[in-house]
Amino acid sequence: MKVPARLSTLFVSALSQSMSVELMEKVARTVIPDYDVHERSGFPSSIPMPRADAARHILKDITREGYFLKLIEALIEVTSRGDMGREVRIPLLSRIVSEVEDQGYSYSREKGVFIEAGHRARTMGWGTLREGRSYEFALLRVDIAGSSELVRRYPKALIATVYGSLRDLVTRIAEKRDGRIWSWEGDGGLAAFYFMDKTIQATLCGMEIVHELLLQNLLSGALPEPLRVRLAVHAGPCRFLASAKESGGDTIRRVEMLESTYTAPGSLTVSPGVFTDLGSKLAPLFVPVPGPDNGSVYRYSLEWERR
Amino acid sequence: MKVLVFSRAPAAILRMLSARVRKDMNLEAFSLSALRQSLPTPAETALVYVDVRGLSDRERGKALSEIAKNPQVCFGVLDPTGTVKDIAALFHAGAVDYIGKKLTLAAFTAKRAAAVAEYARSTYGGQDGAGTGNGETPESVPVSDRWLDIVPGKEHRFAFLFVEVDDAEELKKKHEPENLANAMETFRGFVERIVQQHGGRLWMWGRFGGLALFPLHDSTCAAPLCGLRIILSRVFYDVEESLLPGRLIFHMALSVGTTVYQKGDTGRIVSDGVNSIFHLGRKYAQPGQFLLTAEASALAPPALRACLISAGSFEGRRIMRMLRPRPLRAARAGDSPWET
Repeated sequence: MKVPARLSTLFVSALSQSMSVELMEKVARTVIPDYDVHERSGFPSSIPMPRADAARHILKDITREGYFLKLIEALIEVTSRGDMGREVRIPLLSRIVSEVEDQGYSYSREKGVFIEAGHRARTMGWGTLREGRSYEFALLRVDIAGSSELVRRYPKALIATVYGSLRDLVTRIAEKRDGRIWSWEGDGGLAAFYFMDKTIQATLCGMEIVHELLLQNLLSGALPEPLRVRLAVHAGPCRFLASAKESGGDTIRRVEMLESTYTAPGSLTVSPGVFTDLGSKLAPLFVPVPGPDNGSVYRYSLEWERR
Repeated sequence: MKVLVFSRAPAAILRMLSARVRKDMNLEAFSLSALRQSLPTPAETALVYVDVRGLSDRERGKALSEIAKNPQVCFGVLDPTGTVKDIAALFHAGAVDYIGKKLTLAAFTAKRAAAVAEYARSTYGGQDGAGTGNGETPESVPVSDRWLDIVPGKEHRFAFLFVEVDDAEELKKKHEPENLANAMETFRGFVERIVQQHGGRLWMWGRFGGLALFPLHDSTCAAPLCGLRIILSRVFYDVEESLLPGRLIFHMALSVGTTVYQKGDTGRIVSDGVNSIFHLGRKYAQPGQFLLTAEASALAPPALRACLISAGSFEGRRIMRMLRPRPLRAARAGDSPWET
C-alpha cells in the first residue's frame, strides 16, 4: 500500500506522542523480526534517538518492505492487549485507521487484519495474506458437468460466452461473501474463504450458485440445454501462493476429489467437517451420501415439488 | 371466434357440431392425444372444449389438468352422455362452461360460445380486480414498463405483489414487541431489495407484510420471477439476516390491476385492484404459498408457467399456485424445512 503524506505525518505524530523508541522497536519487530532502528538508520546506539526520528525511520523501512498495514495491525493489537501488563494508549490511532479505511480497506476484528473493501481491486490474498505462509481456508470447487460434450456440441464463441457468464456469477457470489477466486480454467475453478464463518460462507456461496443456475436454466439461457455444475466445499490448512495450482496440498486435493467423485451434477457436496459447522438452519437442508473411506459426505440440491 | 374441441373422435364431433354453429365461427377438432401440442398459444384468443365421452375419471382429470396448466386458455366440457357426476368440481378446476346430457349438443351454438368467451374474459381476463373504481375501462389505463412514466396522482396498470409473514399472532406471543419490530424491519429490507432488483417498488408496508408494484408493459414483467427469487432467497435470509431464531414462513400473491399511484401516504388509496390482492393474499393464500391470478400467471416466462398448478378459484378468479423448489432431502422425506 502506498502511504499518503497526510497518513505519514499522522503516523509519526501518533508514535512519537505515545510511546518510547524501545516500544516502537518492539512493535516493529512483530512485523520484521530482529528489526533494529539504530542499525537501519545508522544512528549511534549510544545516543538516545529522538522519538520523531525513530518513528520516521520505522515508517520508511516498514513501508519499503510492504508491511505498513501489518504495522498498524500490530499497533491496534498493542493498544488492546497492552505491553507487559502496562496499558498503551495511542490517541491518534482511530484517525490512522480511518485514513487506512479511506484507502479502500476495512479492519476485520475477528482476524485482526485489514482487508480490501469497497471498490478496491480484489487480490487473491485479500491484501493481507503473505505468500508462502499457511492459513486455514474453506475452499469451494466449481466444475461444469459434461463440459467436453458441450464443447463438442456447440460453437466455440457460444461456449466462451456461457463459461464466462458462469465465472462472473461465481465471482460475484463469492466476493459478496468475502471470498476470492483463486483459480479458473475454462470450465471451473476454485474459490477461497478466509474470514469469519468461512465454512458457512463457502457453503452459502455454493447453495446460491445452485439456486441461480436453477433460475437461469428456467429462463432459457444461452445454451439450448440446462447448464449443470458440480460444487464441493472442504476446509483445512493450505499454503497461500499467488498460483493456486502451485499451492497444492491435501486440502485442495480433497475438495477436488469431493467435487469430481462424490458430487452429482447440479448439486453441492460438503465434507463432514464443514457439515458440522453448518448449524440448525442449514444442516437439515443437506442429505448424507456415501463418501470416501466408508464415511459420509453431505449433499444439497434442489428439485421442484411434485404436482 | 376460434373454438377448439378435443375429442377421442375428432372427425365425428366436428361433423356433429359443424351443422349447428354459424359458418363464421372458426371450429376445429383435434384428437385428445394431441392436446398438449394443439392448445392455443398465449397470443391466440380461443375457447377450448373437451369432449369427455368415453373417458375414465382419471383420463378426464388428466386432460383437464393439462389444460389448466395454461392459464391463458379458457375451457369448457362437452358431456353429451352425462358421465360427469360432480359438475361443480369442473368449475372449481377452472372450467367456464359445461354442456351436459340435458342440454344436448344443440346448445353448442356460436351465440353460446360468444357468451362463454365474454364471461371468461370478464371473470379471468382483462382486469383481475372488479374494475378500476372510477369507471375507466382497463384499456384506457396507461400501460408502462418504466417508473419514469409513472405519474403520481394518475391511475396506472401494475402487477401487485403481496407478501406477508405467516403466523403473526404466534410471533407476537413469542417475541418482545421491540425485537419483533426489528426482525420485521430486516424482513422488509430483504423483500425491498429483491423487489428493486426486479424493477419494482415496495409501496405499502404494515407490521408483517406489504405490497410491491411493478409497472406493466405488454405481457412482460419480472414480478413472477421476483416472487420465485424471494422464495429461493429465503434460506439465505434465514441464515444471514433474520433476527429470529427459527425459519420465517411467508405467503405471497400476485395479480394485475390498476391503481392511482401515490408516493408516501398510501392510507387513502381507494382501488379495487389493491383491495383484491389483499383479499387474495390474506384470505386465500395458505402458509408458504405463492398464488397468482390467471392474468398474472401469463406474465411469467413459459418455463416458469410450467411450474404453476391450478389452485381453484377465488372471488370468481381462476388462481394458480407456484410449485415450490425444495431441497432433495425434503422431497424424499416429505418434510421440507422450507414449508410449514
